[in-house]
Amino acid sequence: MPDALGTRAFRIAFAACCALILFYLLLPTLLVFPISLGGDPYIRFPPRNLTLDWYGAYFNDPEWRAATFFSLKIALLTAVFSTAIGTAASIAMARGSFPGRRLLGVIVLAPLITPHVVVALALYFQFAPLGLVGTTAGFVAAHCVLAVPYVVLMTSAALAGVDPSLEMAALNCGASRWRALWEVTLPLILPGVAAGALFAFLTSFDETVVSFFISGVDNKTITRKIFEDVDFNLTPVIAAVSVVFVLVTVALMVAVNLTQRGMKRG
Amino acid sequence: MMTPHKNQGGDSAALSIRSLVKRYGSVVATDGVSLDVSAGEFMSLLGPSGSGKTTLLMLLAGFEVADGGEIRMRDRDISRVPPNKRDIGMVFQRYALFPHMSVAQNVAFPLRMRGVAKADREARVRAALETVELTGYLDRMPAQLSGGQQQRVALARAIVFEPGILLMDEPLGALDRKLRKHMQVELKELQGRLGATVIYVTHDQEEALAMSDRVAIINAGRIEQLATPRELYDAPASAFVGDFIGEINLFDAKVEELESGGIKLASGFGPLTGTPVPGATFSRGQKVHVGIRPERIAVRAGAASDGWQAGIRQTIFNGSNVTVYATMQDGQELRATVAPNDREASLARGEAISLSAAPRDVFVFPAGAA
Repeated sequence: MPDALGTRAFRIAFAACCALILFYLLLPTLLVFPISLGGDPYIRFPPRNLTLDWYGAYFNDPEWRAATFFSLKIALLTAVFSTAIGTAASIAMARGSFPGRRLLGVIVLAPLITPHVVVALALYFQFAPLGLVGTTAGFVAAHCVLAVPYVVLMTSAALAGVDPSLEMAALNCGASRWRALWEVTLPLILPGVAAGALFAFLTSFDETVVSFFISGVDNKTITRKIFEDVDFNLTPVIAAVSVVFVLVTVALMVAVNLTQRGMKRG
Repeated sequence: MMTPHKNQGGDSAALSIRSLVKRYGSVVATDGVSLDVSAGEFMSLLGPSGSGKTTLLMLLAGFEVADGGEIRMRDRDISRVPPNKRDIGMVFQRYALFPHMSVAQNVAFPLRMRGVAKADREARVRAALETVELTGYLDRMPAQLSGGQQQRVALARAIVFEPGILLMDEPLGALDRKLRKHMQVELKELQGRLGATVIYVTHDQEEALAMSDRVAIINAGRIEQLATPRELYDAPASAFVGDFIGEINLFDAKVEELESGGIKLASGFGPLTGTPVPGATFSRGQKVHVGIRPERIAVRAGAASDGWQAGIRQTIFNGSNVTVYATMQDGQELRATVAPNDREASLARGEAISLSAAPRDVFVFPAGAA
C-alpha cells in the first residue's frame, strides 16, 4: 500500500532528523572522550598515540583529588539539607493554610529563573563579611539556594498524587500530625523525595558560576578547578576529568529516571 | 465489641450536638445544628450535595473546628479536641486505605497508634477482619482488592479500636448498584451485632430509608426534619422533605377555609381538603404549597362529579405499578400510580379521568420555604 509506505518513509526520515539533532547536541560532550586518550601533552583532535596516562594523572594529582572530594562532599551535604528543607516547604505549601502561601511558592522557585551570576554576586557580598567564602558551610548554603527549588518541584508533584483523605484517615486512627506525616505521607512521596535529592546532588555537583565566586584558595570545587586549569594549564587531564564528570552526571540522571519510574508505578 | 455506654447524667445520648455553627467567610455551612444520637442508633445525615452534611461530618471527626456550639460525647465536650484524640472511627468515601500497607497493617494501624502490644494487636486485627467477613487477605495490598473488599478493610480499620461512634461518609457510593444493596443489608446487620452507634452520611434517600433508625434531613446547613424513615415519608415537615424523600406532586394553592377536619383549599384545578403540617399556622387567603404522594391519588376512568377532572397524558409501566401522568384542567400535571391490572392503567392518551385524594394524604406546607 503506497499510503502505508509513505507514512513509513516519513517516519524514518523524521527519526533520522531527530537522531541528527541529538547527535549535534551531544557532539561537543562526546568529543572529550577521544581527546582524553590523546598522547600529546596538549589538546588535539583527532588524538594520536592513544594512552590512559591522563586518567592516571588526574587520579594521582592531589589538587584534582582534593577538588573532586570537596565537590562530592558539598554535593552530598547540599542533597541532605536541601531535601529536608524542600520537602518540608512543599508539604507546608500543599497541606498548610497560612497567609502568604502562594507568595512562598514564588519565592522558593525564584532561584530557578534568576541568572546564576546574579545569585553568585549577591551571595559573595553576603558571605564575604560573614567569613563564609571558601568554607564548606558557605558552599552548602549557596548550593541549597539553587537546589531547593528542584526538590520542591519533585516533592510537590509527588504530594499532588497523595489523597489528603489518607492523612485524615491516619489522624482519625489516632496518629499525631507527625506520625501521620512519618508513617503515611512520607512513605508515599518517597520516590519524589529521592528524585529531588538526586537532582539536588547534581545541581551542586555541576554548579560552576556560584562556585567560581565563593571558592577559596584551598576549598575549590572540581568545576572551579577545571576553569583554572583551562586558563593556566591546558592538558588532556581536563578532558579526562570531564569524561569522569560526564559519566557521574549521566549515572545520576539514570538514577533520577529510575526513581521516577518507581513513582509512577507506585 | 462496642458496648453502649452507660451515662451517669441520665440521658442515654452517645452524642449530643448543641447549636453547632460553622462559617466559611460569609457562607454558613452549619447553621445552628442540634442533634442527639442514642447509643446503638443508626442515624443518617441525608441531604443534597452542598447541603452541609459533609461539613457536619468534618466537625464531628475533628477535621474542622466549629465557630460556635458544642459536641458532647458522653459527658465530654469534644468540639475542641483534635481528631486523633477523639474516640470516633471513620469510614471514608473512597476508603482511604494506606496504599503502602497490607490489609493487616492497615487494620493494625489504629492499634499501633494507641500503643497496643503486638500480640494483642494481631488477635484484634484478626477479630475485626472476621467481623467484616474478610479473612485470609492479611498480606494483600489494598490495590489487589476489589471495591467491596476494600470497603470491608476500611470498616475493619474503623471498628478495630472499638470507638464510641462510627462515622461513615457515603461508604457505598463507589460500589455498583447490586453490591451496594447487598452491603446495605450487611452493614445494617453488622451494626446491630456490634451495637455500634453509627452516623451515616449519604445523599441517597433510598439508602438512608433502608438502613437508618432515624434520618436527619439536612438542607442549607440546618436540620429540616429529624424522624424515622416512616415518619419522613408519611408526614414530611416541609415541602423540601416531601420532595426529597420519595415521589411527590407539589403545587400551589390558596387557603379558603380552616376547619377542624382540615384546610379547605382552592387550586388551579379545583377545590381540595388537606392536613396542615404540625407546627405551621395558616390563615384564610394565605398561599400554600400542597404535596400529594402519587400512590395516594385515586384514579377513576370517566368524568366523575366528585373528583378533579383531568385527561390522560401518558401511562408509564414501571413493573410493580403504572404511573399515570394526568393533565389537569389548568394545564398542570399530576402523577398518580395505579396497579398494573387496573383498568386505569391501560387508558389511552386524551381519555377523561377524575382524580381524588383523602384529606390526610394532602400535605399542606407553608409557602416560601421551597
